Amino acid sequence: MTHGQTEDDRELNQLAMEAKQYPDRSYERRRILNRLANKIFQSPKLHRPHCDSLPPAISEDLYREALNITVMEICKKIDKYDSSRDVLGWVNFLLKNRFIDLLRKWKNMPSLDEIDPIGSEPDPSASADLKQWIEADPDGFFTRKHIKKNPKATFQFIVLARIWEDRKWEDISAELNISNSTLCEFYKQQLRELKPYFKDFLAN
Amino acid sequence: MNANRMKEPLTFSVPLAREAKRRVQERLKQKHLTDRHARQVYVNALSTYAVEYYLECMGFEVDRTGSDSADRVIREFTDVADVMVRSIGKFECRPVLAGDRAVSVPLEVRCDRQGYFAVQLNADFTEATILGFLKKVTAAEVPLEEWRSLDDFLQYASHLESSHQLSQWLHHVFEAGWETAEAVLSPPRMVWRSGSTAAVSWRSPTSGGAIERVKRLKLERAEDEVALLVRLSPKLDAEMGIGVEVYPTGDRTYLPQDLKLMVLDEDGIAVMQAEARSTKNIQLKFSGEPGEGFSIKVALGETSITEAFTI
Repeated sequence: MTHGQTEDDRELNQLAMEAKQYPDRSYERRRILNRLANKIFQSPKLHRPHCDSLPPAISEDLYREALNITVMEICKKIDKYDSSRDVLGWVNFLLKNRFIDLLRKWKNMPSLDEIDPIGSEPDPSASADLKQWIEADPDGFFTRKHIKKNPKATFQFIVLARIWEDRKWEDISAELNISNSTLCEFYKQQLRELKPYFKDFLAN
Repeated sequence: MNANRMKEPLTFSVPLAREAKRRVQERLKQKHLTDRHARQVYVNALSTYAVEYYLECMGFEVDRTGSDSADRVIREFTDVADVMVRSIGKFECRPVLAGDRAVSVPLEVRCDRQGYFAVQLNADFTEATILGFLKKVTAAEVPLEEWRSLDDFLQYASHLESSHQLSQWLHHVFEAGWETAEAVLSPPRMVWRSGSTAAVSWRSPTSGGAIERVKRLKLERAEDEVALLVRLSPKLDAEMGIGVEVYPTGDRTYLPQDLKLMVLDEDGIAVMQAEARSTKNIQLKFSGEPGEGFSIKVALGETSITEAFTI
């Protein structure tokens, strides 16, 4: 295998060597690994393992995942880089093997359904149920606490305004005469406290 | 090395493939309140995937279950896209779509984060590019030009990794090893509490109300173990009051003779010192500003332990 044939090869090799010189988890090493990873991802000399018996989209997807795994592996094992060889040789070797690993796993697993972000249907009845439960507040959870001096400023008021009425923080802040940040902190803290009750409700 | 390349801001691009899709699928399994919410969960999931991938490549320890966005209930009711890094804290990963000129950062995530990433997603969601980083965000929309090189992030985070983040204590995020006073010190001391959670009124944790934690320090001999207590008292002018106390642990009433407690500044120079002579505890008090660093050194004879902190 010839060594450092092109400008790109030499740059990759030099980056890898330099990374090794700095301690693990140091800023200097991280900065170099960042650039090394970018260059590997962009390299025109990456091999492109593929599987002809798969639909091209799936093969392409597995290839890209294999590339992700390869780059991460190289970053984590940079101390093992052998400077008498080309980084790209190491990359392509790992790439081929990781692709084969993924292929094997994929054949044994049901495929992931394609997910369409626009088509993902919200569940209007779930939303209505949740809203109703919060409004009715049978156990008093959502009105149990309020921001001091302002009994209207309960979790119930804020969540209904934010989620179902789509109101901005500034708007709610103006109505209740409480600062944005106090409102938001209260909302988040209450949400944490009420989590167990929401978990139960959402599970049913 | 090409000198010109050093001046270009550092970014990071990663393909979005099967693992990214798996993350999205996990998070979209829940029922959604609105259409807009489902879309937000989708892009937030891809952003957090991209940043977690980047952080792991860079050798940071990512806690995949410790982030707000991993929590289904929090995801349902707030627009969060954070990742949790051990020893540092939470970073928000805001998605920006192809063609957008600014990054939206909602109020819910503008307070308790160590920093923010802008993550651009391409039109068919097959690639993510982490475009930039900011330590603080105070506006709901931040134009792309204002985001800084990832070089800033790497420098900042590498520094934070080596010190305890006291600002995270205000948000009840504590690293392993820091326990409550009751858990470590016996008999239980009378501790001033900041406001019982049974009260009807609620006060923001950052407006009055001290927070303290204790860490066991093992010096050379088992009987020399001491408890280091650090107490944060936020003051009105954004300064932080810091109290440092050392107690014996277990059944011991007195600290080891000649035990020294020192506060060191950012350059490692001792600025305060106290020594135990047949005493039950020693304490030092000082104050500092957010972002300042200091260390606490406990020494006995030849042995010493130093803990670094950032306010």
